[in-house]
Amino acid sequence: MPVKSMLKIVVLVLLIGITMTGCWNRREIETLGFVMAVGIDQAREGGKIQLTVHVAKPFAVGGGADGKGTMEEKPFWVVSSTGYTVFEAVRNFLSQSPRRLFWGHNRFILIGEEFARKGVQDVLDTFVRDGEPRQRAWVVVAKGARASDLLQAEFELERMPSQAAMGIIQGSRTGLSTIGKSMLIDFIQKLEGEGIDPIATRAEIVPRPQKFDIRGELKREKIGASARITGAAVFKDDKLVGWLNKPETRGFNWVMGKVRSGIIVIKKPGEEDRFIGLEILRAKGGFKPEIKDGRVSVTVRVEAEANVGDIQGFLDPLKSPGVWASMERRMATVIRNEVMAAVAKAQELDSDIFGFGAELNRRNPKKWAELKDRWDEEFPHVDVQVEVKAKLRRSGLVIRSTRIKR
Amino acid sequence: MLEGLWQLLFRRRRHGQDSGKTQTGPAKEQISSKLQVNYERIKAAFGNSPDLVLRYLEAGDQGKISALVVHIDGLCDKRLVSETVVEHITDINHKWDSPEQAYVDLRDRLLSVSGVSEVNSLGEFITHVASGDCGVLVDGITRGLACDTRAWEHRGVEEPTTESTIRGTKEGFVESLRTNTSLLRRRIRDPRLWIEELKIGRISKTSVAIVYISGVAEDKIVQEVRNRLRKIDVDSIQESGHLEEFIEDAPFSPFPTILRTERPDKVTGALLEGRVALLTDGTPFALIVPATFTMFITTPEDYYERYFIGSAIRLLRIASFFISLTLPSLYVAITTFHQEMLPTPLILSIAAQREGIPFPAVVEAVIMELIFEVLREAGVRLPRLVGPAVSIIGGLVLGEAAMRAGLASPAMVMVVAFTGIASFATPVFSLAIGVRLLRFLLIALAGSLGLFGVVAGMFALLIHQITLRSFGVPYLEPLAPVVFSDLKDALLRAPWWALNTRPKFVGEKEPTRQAPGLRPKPPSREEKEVHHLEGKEGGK
Repeated sequence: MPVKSMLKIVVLVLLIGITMTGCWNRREIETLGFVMAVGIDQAREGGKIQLTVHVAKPFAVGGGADGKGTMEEKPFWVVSSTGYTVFEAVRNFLSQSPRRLFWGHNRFILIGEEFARKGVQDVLDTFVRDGEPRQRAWVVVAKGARASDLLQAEFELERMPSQAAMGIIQGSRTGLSTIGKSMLIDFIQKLEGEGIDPIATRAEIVPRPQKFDIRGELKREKIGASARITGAAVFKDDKLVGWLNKPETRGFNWVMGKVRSGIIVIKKPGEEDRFIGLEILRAKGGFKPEIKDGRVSVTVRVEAEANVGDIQGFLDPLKSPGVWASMERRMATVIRNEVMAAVAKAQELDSDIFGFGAELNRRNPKKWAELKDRWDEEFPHVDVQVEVKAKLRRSGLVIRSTRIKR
Repeated sequence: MLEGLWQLLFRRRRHGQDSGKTQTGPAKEQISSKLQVNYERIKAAFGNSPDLVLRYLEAGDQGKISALVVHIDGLCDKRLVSETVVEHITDINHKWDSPEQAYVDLRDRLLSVSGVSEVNSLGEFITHVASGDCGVLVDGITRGLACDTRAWEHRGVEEPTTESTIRGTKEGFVESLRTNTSLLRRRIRDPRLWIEELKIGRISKTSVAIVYISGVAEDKIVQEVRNRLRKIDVDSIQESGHLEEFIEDAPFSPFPTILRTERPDKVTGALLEGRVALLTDGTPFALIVPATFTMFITTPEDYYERYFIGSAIRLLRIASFFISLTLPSLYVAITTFHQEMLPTPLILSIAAQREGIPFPAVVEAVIMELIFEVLREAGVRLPRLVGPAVSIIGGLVLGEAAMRAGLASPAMVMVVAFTGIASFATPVFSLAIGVRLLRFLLIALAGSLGLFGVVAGMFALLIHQITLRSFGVPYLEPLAPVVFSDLKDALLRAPWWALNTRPKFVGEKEPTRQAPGLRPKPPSREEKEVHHLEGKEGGK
């Protein structure tokens, strides 16, 4: 009896196996074109959307040990397609691409500035609705350019631009803190959230006119243009309204508590034409909105610790005891200025990128219910106080600077 | 009726005394009082085989009593036969008046071999002769004597070839049952090591020994082993694998429920846990029952190396078990269904390797696996001298050529090779073979349903394993059902001083193995003082 029922199960499993073969999403890996990045622009023909994608050319990546990939060939293919919706445009690629596009490895959604100013909700929908694209793709806005132009950018050291850009984003997040986390999932959440507006990453095309050759041996084709991450793009609802530059973006990160590291440059106490570089070790940040006399005020608290990275000129903290405290005060001032710059810019653009409103909602839902309809008017007038605790920890391997004997 | 015969057979003796039922001839016949009749019958029973030696002797001083000595050439020690049997029968110093007197004298005094037994029927007598005993019949007496003179050519004790270890005994079982039992006795010098022997096979009459430690082994399990062995009614048993198929719990399962081993230390380890071993004459492979899954991924080495190393290599072995079972199917599933699961550089690298490969990944996997299986099979069967040639042709030429010819991707070759190597890390071959077959099933599931198929397949296997029992013991014990006290020696091996109890289910009769608190530790203050004083006294 158990043998019989076992046999039945086996037969059933085999039947399912046979009937399901080749069904739904079995796709051989070599029949896929892996999309590495996508750019979204307004098409030149009226009303259409233009998609530009980077498709990886696996054989040119140089994966195999037998060196199938040649270093001369670009490892990616840039191709465009148009459609009235993004989904249609994606499907239209099939008329040009011998391989079906696979979106599971897409890491970037680039949006042209012009397009972003008109609103991005319509185009982001399919990236959320469809199962294939990742929610962790970075949303990037090309400042002063079309996304398709940004996709022409190439980078040194990495052959695959999306790989290079991931490296730059990683570096900007952990080493500079000049980039706000703006993956698709964050963007969508902030778009949906009440009292908070989304940001995206701001990228600029850098022309590379200097074509220097090292003894003419440079085999790789010249890089025409490169790109750089220069802060954040500020959205109001789904429309781009302005930009944060790098210090302002770090100010934004101070408020959000997302600063991981970075360099704070202060003027040297007593020698104002020289500078001191401080490396941020740890930082905490947060804010607390309150309502006083019907007016909203926000207290931003930042705690930061730093090490001394370099000092120009001579300084011996042991011999001049006040100087350490003075450096800490200056560090706090720099942080405060960055925060205030970010807040001022956000208030100027009337975009609550910090989520002051959302936090107020969490703390005081009743008041928020009264406020939320006129939050757009209220936000620019929010009174923001910044409290900074700055702490200098160590001075590196030496205490005093090198003293030049004369 | 047959049952009754088995009942009769089943008596605990050092040597099997009874014959099985032979189909024809003198089986049930009594021994005739006329020697001539017996002579003819024995001769007829063996069909004039030239290795049968029959000799009439005149016994005693008067030559009135005649005796018949029967043995098979090559199965017994000829010198022993002539010195201890023939010489005594023919000694003219004996003053025998009647056959009866001669017979009793021979039986009780003169035949100077240690094992002399009396048989009553001619069939029994013939069986003894066929197993190598020297038979003696005396004219006029309807009983016979069987003297243990067995000695035949056999392989000496050598290092086990299928289960070698770096540390531990270099002795392995051999084909001779008696040698094998002696290997066990030498390791357990206690009369409680009980050996029950019975003969299985209508024609072959192969000796099978049930070995267990009385008072440690569970009576129910021993009884179950006896019952299952008794039910076997076949013409012959050639190997313990032959026996295994008649007594295993799950004949249709890919998983073996009986452990086989060539190593006496493994058997003694199991005996001491309360398990039962079956030794079959003619094969160096012993069977151990009940067997649980964890025993199949265990080697004696785990217990000889220090415990954390033992545990680490055991974990490694478990990992390689899963690798050998699932790696090709995971590769197929992920590269054809779930491309988003791999990091981008890796997927691009695999995609680059698959450029221009004409087969779908699943077909590629099956082909490569088949090539590998053929290679392995050929490698096992080939004479040792040709072996390296096959591995060169197979491993280097085929693998390299397949890649160059664009028939297989390097990643797939690597996956298959790694899977193969991982499967060699499974210490028990019978489990490894089962896994080899299951791997193809999983590849098929992966190729049709992706990870969903692989997971479904693994679940099916898990459920199946949970339903398995080996002689009443759950197969996945102590993992399912969880037996906390046995987890000390399942996936990890606890130090010896912590292995205080025998496994549940098999060792409940005498659960404690050793004294508690054996962990070595620095001497306490009192102990130190005692040593100190002793040292001083010794000095005086």
